[in-house]
Amino acid sequence: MADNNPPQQLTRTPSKPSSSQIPVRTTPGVPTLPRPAYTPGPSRTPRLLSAHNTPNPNATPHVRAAYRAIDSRRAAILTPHHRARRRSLREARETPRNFLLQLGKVLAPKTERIPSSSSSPGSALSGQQQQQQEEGDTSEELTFDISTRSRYGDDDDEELPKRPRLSLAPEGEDWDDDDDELPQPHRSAGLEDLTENFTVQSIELPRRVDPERDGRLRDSMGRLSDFPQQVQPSDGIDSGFFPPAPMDDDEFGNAEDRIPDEFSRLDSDETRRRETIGHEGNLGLLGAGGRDSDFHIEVPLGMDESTTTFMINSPTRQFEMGQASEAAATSGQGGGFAELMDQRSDSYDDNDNGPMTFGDYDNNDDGMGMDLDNREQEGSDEEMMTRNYTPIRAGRASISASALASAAAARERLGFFREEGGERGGFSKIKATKKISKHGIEYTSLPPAMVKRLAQTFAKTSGAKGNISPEALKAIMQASDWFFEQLGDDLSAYAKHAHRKTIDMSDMLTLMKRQRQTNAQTTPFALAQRYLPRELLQELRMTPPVPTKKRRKAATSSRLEAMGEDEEVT
Amino acid sequence: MPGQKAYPRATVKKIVKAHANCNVSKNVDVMIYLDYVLFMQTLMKEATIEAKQGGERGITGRSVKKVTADTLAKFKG
Repeated sequence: MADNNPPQQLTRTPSKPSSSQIPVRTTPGVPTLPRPAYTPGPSRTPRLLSAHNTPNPNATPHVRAAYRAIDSRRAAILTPHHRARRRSLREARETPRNFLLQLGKVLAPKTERIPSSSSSPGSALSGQQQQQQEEGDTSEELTFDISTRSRYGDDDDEELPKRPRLSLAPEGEDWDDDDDELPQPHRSAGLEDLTENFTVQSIELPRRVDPERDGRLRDSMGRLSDFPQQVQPSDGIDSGFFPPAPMDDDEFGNAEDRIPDEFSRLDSDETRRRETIGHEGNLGLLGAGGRDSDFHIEVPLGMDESTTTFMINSPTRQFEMGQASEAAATSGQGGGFAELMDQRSDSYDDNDNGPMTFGDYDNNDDGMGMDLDNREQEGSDEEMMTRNYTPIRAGRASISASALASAAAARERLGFFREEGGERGGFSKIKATKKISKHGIEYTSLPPAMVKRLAQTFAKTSGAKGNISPEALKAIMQASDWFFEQLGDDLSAYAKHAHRKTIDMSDMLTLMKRQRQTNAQTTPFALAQRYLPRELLQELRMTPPVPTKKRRKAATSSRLEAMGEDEEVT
Repeated sequence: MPGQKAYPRATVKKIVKAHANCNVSKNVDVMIYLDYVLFMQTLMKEATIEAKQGGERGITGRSVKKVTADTLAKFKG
């Protein structure tokens, strides 16, 4: 396996990062470096920052990679703070050596350097190490990584057959000694070779994560509605997931032109559709779950037509994932493959840069079911169009493309928000719009600037960062609208119960007491003192209702009154 | 906060009046605003906790929406 591929390009690419870069492995799916399984390496022992003191020599490569990731992370965290201390330690340890080296340079400039038996082999490597130790600035992690990397890189360049020998060695030990964890290094080493040799280009990290997210959204939005329409004429196989790829396997640019064809075909013509289903029967095993898109690249190699689509798709997708966020702002409706991909990957961001706030609302709304219907009708043509791609992509495209139009339309149709023009502009601006209460009285909600200011102050005091995203502000505005509605209901209930037509201060005090905002310890006035600005406090204090309020409180208990006075004074 | 107007008193009064279909006596709106401030404090606190539990960076719309129902229930009189 390891022999029949060009060793240079493939094996070099992972082991190439620059010397100043600390390799932080954030995700476990990366093909790790090609490391021999059982060489502990003398240069890795003196590690100051390592999370584990003695690395297990029998650990699997994955475990060691994880340890290295942890260590490098620790190094990255700890380095700026303890730089001075560490440097002093290093100097205390290394100065004699440096001094001796310099002395050696002065005394015998022509003598060749003898590589010590304890350090790692390779004269270039030791030179590198010494250079860096003379600098004294770089952390030890760095030297370790450089040394190992360069060493292994050299190994890969020079002698490839070394690796099979190393992978075989633990096996012999394993059979003899019967240690635990011993079979693991061997297998994973083999896997490492496999992935490194064949699928270096095709393995990418987001791909692992994507299908889950996709499944989540598909359940919530497009797919459910899609099913009854599509599947009922078919014969058992859930064809909603399969692309009719071999039939209309054109470039993606032509997909738009073919919309009417697709539409009529999928709706009326059943025989052709069955053909496609039969044709994709072997694809069905893979695509049925819709989740294992990882293997679409590798497995259908035998197939002729769909293979090309997949092989084309994967690099573009990789490319799109990187650029998604910046291009998402400009991406329009429908259109090319790139835009669809952009919208898909953008929809999972929590950044509120666009139309997906609709979808976000839909997850929590009550009008979800009705939204589904609308989405089914309006999103069907979009889905036909995107059915040309892989099944997963079709699902995403249906979400991204149709959700925009249908969510907006459905929202306006349902009249979920009672205001007139507030949602028309969508995500442009939150305005203080006219709303109508249940008593038919018009009112305007609070100014968003004030709400935002209030929210920011309280977000800061509660420990979060002070920035409130527009999406969050929208939610807060909605919450405060609901709050005032509830408060008005309660206050009117209290007033009517007292046979009054006017909401009095006593109603409000009762309400706050029932809300458990005021109790024996916290009087309303103490709360006002704490939260209200001074001029409002003055209003409260100077007005005639305040003595009555105090008298009412005094009626409950005079001790509390004294406490309230104390709190006022402070 | 001290420099500017704390809140639009007339707007608050109108909102409550519209929802309650009752007149609102003098200076009750200050207490109403105080209650609203307390509500906002609770809401933001809960949203911060929710955002931290959800692993979000800041307060997002999702976290606010998640805690809105509970906070409103807490402020039900």
